[in-house]
Amino acid sequence: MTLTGEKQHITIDRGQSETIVLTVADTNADLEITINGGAELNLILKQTTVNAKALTTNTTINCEANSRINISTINIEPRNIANTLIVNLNGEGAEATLNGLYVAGAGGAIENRTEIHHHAAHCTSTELYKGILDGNAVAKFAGLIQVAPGAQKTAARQTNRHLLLSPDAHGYAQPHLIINADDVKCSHGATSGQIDREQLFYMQQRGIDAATAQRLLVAAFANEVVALIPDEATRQELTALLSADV
Amino acid sequence: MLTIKNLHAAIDGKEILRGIDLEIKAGETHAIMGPNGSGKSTLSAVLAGNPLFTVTEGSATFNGKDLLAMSPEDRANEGLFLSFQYPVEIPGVSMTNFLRAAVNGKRKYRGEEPLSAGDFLKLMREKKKLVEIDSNLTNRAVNEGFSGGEKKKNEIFQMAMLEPTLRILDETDSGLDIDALRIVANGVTKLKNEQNATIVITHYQRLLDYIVPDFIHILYKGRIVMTGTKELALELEEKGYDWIKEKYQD
Repeated sequence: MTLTGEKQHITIDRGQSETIVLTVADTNADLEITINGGAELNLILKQTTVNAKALTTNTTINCEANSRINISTINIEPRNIANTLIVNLNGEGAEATLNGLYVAGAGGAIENRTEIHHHAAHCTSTELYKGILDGNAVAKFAGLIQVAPGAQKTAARQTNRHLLLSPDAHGYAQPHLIINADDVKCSHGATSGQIDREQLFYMQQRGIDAATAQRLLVAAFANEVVALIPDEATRQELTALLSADV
Repeated sequence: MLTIKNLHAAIDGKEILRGIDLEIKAGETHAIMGPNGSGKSTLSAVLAGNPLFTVTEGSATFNGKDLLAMSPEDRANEGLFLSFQYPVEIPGVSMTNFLRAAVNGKRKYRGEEPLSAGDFLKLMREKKKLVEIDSNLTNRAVNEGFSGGEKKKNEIFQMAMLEPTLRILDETDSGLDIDALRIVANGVTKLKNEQNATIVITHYQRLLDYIVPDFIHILYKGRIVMTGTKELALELEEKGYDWIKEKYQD
């Protein structure tokens, strides 16, 4: 499915399970998704920039009781992309998995803003966003987790990791937790690091040239997210892309 | 094969090696012993090209080429292999991908075609058998979650895959129980031939019962202060390093 700029509504009916791969090329996107009780949606959002100067994507997902959303946001070589993803966990037992992978080079700018609102009890949210930044790329991840009063037994985990391949690349993390219930498990973690010199040297000592070694290490970093994407074709495409060049 | 002359090296401005001279010929096994902090591991790191260390003086010639001018990967592809004291874990990189990159890196360096997937897997199977490495270790990420003994066995397995001419074993015996030590030492011995040479760096004499050296060098304060045959190791085992320290105080 390829998106145009207009607002799209997607509803997954009660008890249904669907996988949707959306390609967003050179256009803004505005999505409103409702996942009814017990339904399940795997959504893969692939954004590419060819000619456009700046792009935005706004996605709102409403999850009813015991529904599941698994969304993967993939940005390869973005120029200037700002994404906002809002997930409302409205019914008890809803589960949200948000994964993100962005690979940005010189001149690239990518912002991922996520909001997960735990409105009901016994909901789970898991977020893993990883970014590989080269050149003077700038990436920002801003993640809000909000737990409403009464949303007891909430389990929320947010992780954001940046791998910086150049001293001019910048990765910013802004975790934000607002918790208004007392029986919850919420955590967040953010790291920013470079290629591990010891790992690089070990690989070079085995005869692997520095560029190939770096490529293997970058692919390994990304693979944690790639492995979670519930679509075989996308996984293969990303694996091939990451092993070929960065 | 390897000629080291007056080698000096430093880390963070601190001189660790202070004039090493060493000549190693094909077919020979040399042991380098010495108290902690004498520079044994630094010597292996400098020969392998670890960028943390700076060579400040001297030379090292490997098969007629200037070793110190080469990148770490070129040194490896010329035939130098370092079995690390602390092999690093590389989560997310499978042993298979890692070894295929290494084997094909060497073939590319020599102007050879990469191995086909089938030939590569066959080579892995043969070498696994040779060094008695557990099959499931090679299905995992490089060294990830391996025990100390498994890591050292994996170093020897990689050595078997790459068939280096100069094998440097940095404290290969540290952290090994007697069974693992025997497997590791057997691997090193099986892979020995008239075309390769071995440098065994060790603190204790124990490993030298399994890998018998032709020469033993004692490194102290960044210099080789004494060279002898295997009897010297027994003397050290008996007397410790204190008499060396006393004799060679500067």
